[in-house]
Amino acid sequence: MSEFRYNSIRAKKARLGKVLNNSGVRFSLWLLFFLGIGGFGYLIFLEKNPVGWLCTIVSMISVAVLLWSKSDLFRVPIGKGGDINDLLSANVMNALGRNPNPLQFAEKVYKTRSGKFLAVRFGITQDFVQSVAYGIPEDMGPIFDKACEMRAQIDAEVVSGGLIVAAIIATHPEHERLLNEKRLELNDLVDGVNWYNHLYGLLKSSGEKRRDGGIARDFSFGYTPTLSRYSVNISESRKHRIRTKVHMASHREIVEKMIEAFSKGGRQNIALVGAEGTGRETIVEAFAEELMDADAKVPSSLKYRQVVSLDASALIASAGERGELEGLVTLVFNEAYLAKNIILCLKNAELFFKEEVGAVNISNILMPFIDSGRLRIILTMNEQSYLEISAKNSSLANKLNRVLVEPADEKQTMSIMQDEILTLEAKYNVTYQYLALKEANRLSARYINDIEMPGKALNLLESAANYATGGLVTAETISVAIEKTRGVKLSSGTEDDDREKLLNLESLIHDRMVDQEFAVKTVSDAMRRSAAGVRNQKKPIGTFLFLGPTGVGKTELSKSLAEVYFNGEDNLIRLDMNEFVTETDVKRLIEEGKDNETSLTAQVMTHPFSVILLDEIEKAHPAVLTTLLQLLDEGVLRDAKNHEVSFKDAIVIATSNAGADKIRQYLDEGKDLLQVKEELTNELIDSGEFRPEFLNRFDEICIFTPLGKPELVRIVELNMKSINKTLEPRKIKVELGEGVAEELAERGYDPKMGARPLKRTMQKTVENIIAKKVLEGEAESGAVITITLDMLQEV
Amino acid sequence: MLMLVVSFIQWWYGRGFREYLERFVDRLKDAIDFFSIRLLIRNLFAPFRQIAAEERGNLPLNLRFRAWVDLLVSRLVGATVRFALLIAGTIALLFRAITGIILAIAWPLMPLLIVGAVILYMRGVVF
Repeated sequence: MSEFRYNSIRAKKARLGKVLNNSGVRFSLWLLFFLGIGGFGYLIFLEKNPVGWLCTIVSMISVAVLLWSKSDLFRVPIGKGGDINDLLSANVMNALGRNPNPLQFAEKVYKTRSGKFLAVRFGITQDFVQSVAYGIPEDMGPIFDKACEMRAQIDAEVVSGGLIVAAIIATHPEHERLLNEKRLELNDLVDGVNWYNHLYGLLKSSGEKRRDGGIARDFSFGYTPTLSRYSVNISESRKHRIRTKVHMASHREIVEKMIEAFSKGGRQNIALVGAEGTGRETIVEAFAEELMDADAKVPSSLKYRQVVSLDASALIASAGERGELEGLVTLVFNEAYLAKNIILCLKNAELFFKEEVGAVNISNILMPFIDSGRLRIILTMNEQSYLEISAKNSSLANKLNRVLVEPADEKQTMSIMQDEILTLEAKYNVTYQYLALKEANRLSARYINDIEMPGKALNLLESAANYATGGLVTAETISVAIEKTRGVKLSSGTEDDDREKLLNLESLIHDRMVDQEFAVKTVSDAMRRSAAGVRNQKKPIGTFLFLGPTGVGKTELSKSLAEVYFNGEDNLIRLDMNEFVTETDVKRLIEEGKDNETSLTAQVMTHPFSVILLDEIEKAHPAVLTTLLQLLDEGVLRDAKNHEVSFKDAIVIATSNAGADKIRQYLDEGKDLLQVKEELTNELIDSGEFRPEFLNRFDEICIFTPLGKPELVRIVELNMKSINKTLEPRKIKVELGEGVAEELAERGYDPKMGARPLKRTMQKTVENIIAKKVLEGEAESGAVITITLDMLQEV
Repeated sequence: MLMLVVSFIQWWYGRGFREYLERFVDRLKDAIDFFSIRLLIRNLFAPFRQIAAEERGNLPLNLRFRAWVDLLVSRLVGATVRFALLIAGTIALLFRAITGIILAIAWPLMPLLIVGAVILYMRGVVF
């Protein structure tokens, strides 16, 4: 087991380094150095005193100590053995006493940068680590062993304070539970230490001088005054920034491919084809930096060439007439060609090949340059634009070197975000927590569909900066940001609320509707299974087919679910499927939001936490049902623009009257509901009403039974509750006299229409009576109106 | 204390000296890059800033001649500017190289310099 040696040479050096790092001590050493030199000159040459030689000794020793401290003492290099004493960072060795223990260490590590990093980014505060330290033995040995193991896992140079903190937590027998309370895992902490080391390295390298060719770099290249006016020089703009890091191996390959393509003869162009957000611009920036780097291995024919991005809107704005614009573009291209060091970049290249507002068609001017290979050109565009350009101008498409830019995966996005937040934090003066990054990754992948990763996660992070509280961007801030900027309504209930609701789902639903015990229980059980994690996470929360006659509560149960589960009836997306009876209606179902905001995909994109009610599903065209199969099966649907829309946070309910008569018949025959369900399902398949693969996609098929008069009486009572709630602000109360509820149930009863006529009956009677009383001034604040049978007869 | 002194000596003649030499080479490279020495040598007679009419095969003879003269002037201007900068760069580079070499020689001799200073003090040498 590892043991810390307080008197090891590394520990001694670290302690000496700490003393010498004091600004007062350093100032004194520099002072001694200069006084020594001055004293030497003065005493030897002016005073003719040999003591001056001793002054040189003072100077030499002080400068030697200064050099030693900077190179060897501040960051004591690791030793040759693999022992903890060879691997501990100088900061940690300074924080450890003669007989270190976790509690003492937890107190001291929070004075270091890595401790503060963990506290701010992860919420792993000093109090938290100290409370963990109370629960473990005082021996640091197992902690050091664990820290060494973690160091090897992330290939870190030293065992830093952050790693020791992670190791202290990992040593606690209940560390998983403790971290779960902070929504973290142990791997997150290890990743955090890696992140800290990476950021530290980046900040250090940002101060390093870059060699970029020097003052005579551009002597052999021409001036480009016109081009400069209508473009942005990417190479120059990256000059003083932190070096662009290419995180993805595929992107690195593209940069190499670009260098190879431009350094050979033949086609001097690259078309970077990829969706917005995939990092096309980052690739161009990395390529531009590579060419400007004197130390990079780049062929001399490409070295110090500058990547210049042409600004389409500036060109259009400055040219008055059509011919003028063409003349200007030709001039710009010629200038770029004659300068001999320009690589022209046409970002969003579709803007240069269209005849519409805000665009300019330069294909006729560009083609000779592309044909002859006289000018190096980079075009960036999405797949759709590439296909459009290919369709319009196949000869142009044939001459382009097309390179596909793939979106980043979850892990790559995370490491890109970890780099990029440096810029965002400086720009918005905020600090991002680690969980904010994870949440941005998760939520953007699920709810942002118009751009790709990592762009959408970065956009979300940037917009979240405006909603930071106290300068801190947390996971909650990210949720707020996506709700406010994207209109996505996320669930608002807490986990405790949700658990309570699920356990009492049946009674909560029955507060709104009566009877249908079988259907309510079936749905409630399915919802509980889903919440307990038993369900398939790649499907909607629940998918149900409600079968039964009209007016028996199918829609009411759907509304109740929206109310109970998603905190409001507003979270119900209702589609009458009798409006989707032709094959062409599939298009309406999946139209993009900007074309039709009432399409199913558009509504779910903005309200993912909803009950989706597909009313009268049996009337939908088979093509529509086929489209819905994917939704039920995989929890996703692709809209007209091929954006993936997630239904994984929705409850999907299809209702149908099909087989309503059969339900009555089976019940009259005395069959129980399970038998009814089985026989009815077979019946519907045999009659061709539904295909078996469609019915099999639902989690549950719920049978709704016809309502009898006693149930209608209970519905009257429920409706009265609702009327009284409406009148509550006026302090008026309505009661039903003896036999009134039964009379209303009798009047509103229709075996074919269920409870539906009852609502109209109550409007005509009870509501009319109340309205009259209020208008006649008979019902003032505090009044109790009792509706009697006589009153009913009068209406 | 003795351990630290030994450690200092190990560093002085080991990593410390190696790092000094690396820094010295880096600073020479910086100077070469700053004055674009390699580019100046490689392109000494290249046209300056491409300020010259482009030569094309199908131009009349008089225009081709003018273009050739243009190019010649541009090359001469380029060579003059580059040569002047090359001289300035070489001087700066030499200065940096000489001081660096002197310090590189002095580095391993420092303990001897201290001993030398003590001897000079004891002998009472003054100027």
